[in-house]
Amino acid sequence: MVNIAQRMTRLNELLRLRVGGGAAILPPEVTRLHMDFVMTYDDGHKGPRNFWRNDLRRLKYYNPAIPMTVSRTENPDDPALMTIHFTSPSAAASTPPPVSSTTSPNTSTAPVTPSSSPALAERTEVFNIKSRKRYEILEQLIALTKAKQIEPTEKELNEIRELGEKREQSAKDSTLSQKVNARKKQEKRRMAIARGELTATS
Amino acid sequence: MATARPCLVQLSRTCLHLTRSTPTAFPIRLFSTSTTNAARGKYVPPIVSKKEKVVVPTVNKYIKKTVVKKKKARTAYIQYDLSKEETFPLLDAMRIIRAWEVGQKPTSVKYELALKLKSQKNGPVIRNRLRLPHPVKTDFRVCVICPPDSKYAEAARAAGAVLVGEDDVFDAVKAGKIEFDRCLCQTDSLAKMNKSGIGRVLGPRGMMPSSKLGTVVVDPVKTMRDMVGATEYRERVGVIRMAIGQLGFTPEEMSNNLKAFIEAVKKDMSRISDKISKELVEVVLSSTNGPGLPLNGSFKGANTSVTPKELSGP
Repeated sequence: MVNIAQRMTRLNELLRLRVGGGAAILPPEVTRLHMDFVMTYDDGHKGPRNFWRNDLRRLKYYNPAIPMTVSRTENPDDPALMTIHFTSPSAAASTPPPVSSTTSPNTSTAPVTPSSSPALAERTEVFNIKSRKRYEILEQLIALTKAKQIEPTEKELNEIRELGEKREQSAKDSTLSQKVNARKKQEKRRMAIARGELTATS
Repeated sequence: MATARPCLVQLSRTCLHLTRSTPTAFPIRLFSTSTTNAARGKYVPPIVSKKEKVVVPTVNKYIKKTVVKKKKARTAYIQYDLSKEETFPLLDAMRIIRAWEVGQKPTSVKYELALKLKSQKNGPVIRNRLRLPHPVKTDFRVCVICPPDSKYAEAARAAGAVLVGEDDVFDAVKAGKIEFDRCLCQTDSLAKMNKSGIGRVLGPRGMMPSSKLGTVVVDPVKTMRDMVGATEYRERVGVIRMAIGQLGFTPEEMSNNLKAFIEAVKKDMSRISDKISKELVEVVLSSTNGPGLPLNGSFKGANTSVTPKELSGP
């Protein structure tokens, strides 16, 4: 396996899962989030993809019980939509979160489509996410759901700062060692030419 | 020999006569290198005889000559100091992985487990198959090659084989229609199958039945039953990796699978030999696209804020 220090440094990226846009707790009325967009990047589908890769992960981390699904299509002309399923506050308090399991007949293994949304959704909100930036989508989602945003703690802010410092230092180190290596290489080449193993043109 | 002698005498005479006609001694200047060296110019190293060429190596007194010892090849895999490793309880690890895999197809995403062992590079490796309490992949599409009107064909169809027969199978495979994941062959049809030339299609995919792999059998139905749900694992470079669950598994199911797998591996390790001791060093849970999180063996940690129920959703 990979060196432990390398692996642990890499795990620092988990911090990104806790801090940033999308770190918010959705109210219990929200029963499901669903995104539709196109697989290809261009034509306004980049924002939704970025949202999925960054903010939706954080949302899922803070709301592990809420199903969040993404369906991506091949046809570039398809719309990009975000669907939020709501239920009434009274029903939300009583209904348990859905349980998927291989032993129970209701498995999660079939890909979920918007039409197979749970019956307890009383109303749905749909809005367009095509040609929109990641943060715009997040803003609208938070405004619609009235989600409570989580501010990073002092400790987490410190960790972020440390990570940034490390990154800067490593960039400096890397340029320095690049220079040293280039010089070494040139020296070696010069010696080889002097010894007659290489000609100056080759 | 007696006849040969006068001839030799004759020959030596003629030769002697010939040598005398040439000058007895060459001038010594012909062999000298100084003239040729002078012709080569001032800046070119002169040609020297082999004897002279053995020069005293210039010894740099500032550089100490170190005896370069040949590095001994390592026989065991490197072990790292795990004291600074961050470990996670199962629930936390599952929460992170599920967040990371949000929006992926739940059918294609699997939890993966890596067991790092303390083991020798040249020793025996652990290799076995196991049936997990909650199988990761159950929907194998099996193709059975056997005479279409035999009792095996009927039984195989009843057991859920998607494709049964001989010529139909061969034609379908040759046409590139491979709609199965495993292929079994009944011993009676082995000769026919080898002649049909489907090995060229199935071979590269690793699906060609062979007795070495245990896929040429007398009773295909029995093998089908054994095959479903069982997974093979094997130690490679000191690590055993295996898919341990689907993303939709509940924490309890995952925990059952993990326990069963680790116990099986421990049993294998104890069985292997008395001389060689293997040791389980690290357990890392990961997923198809997710990060690798070392587990600490507990189900729930002190800071865990999620309940198993919250992690059970689709």
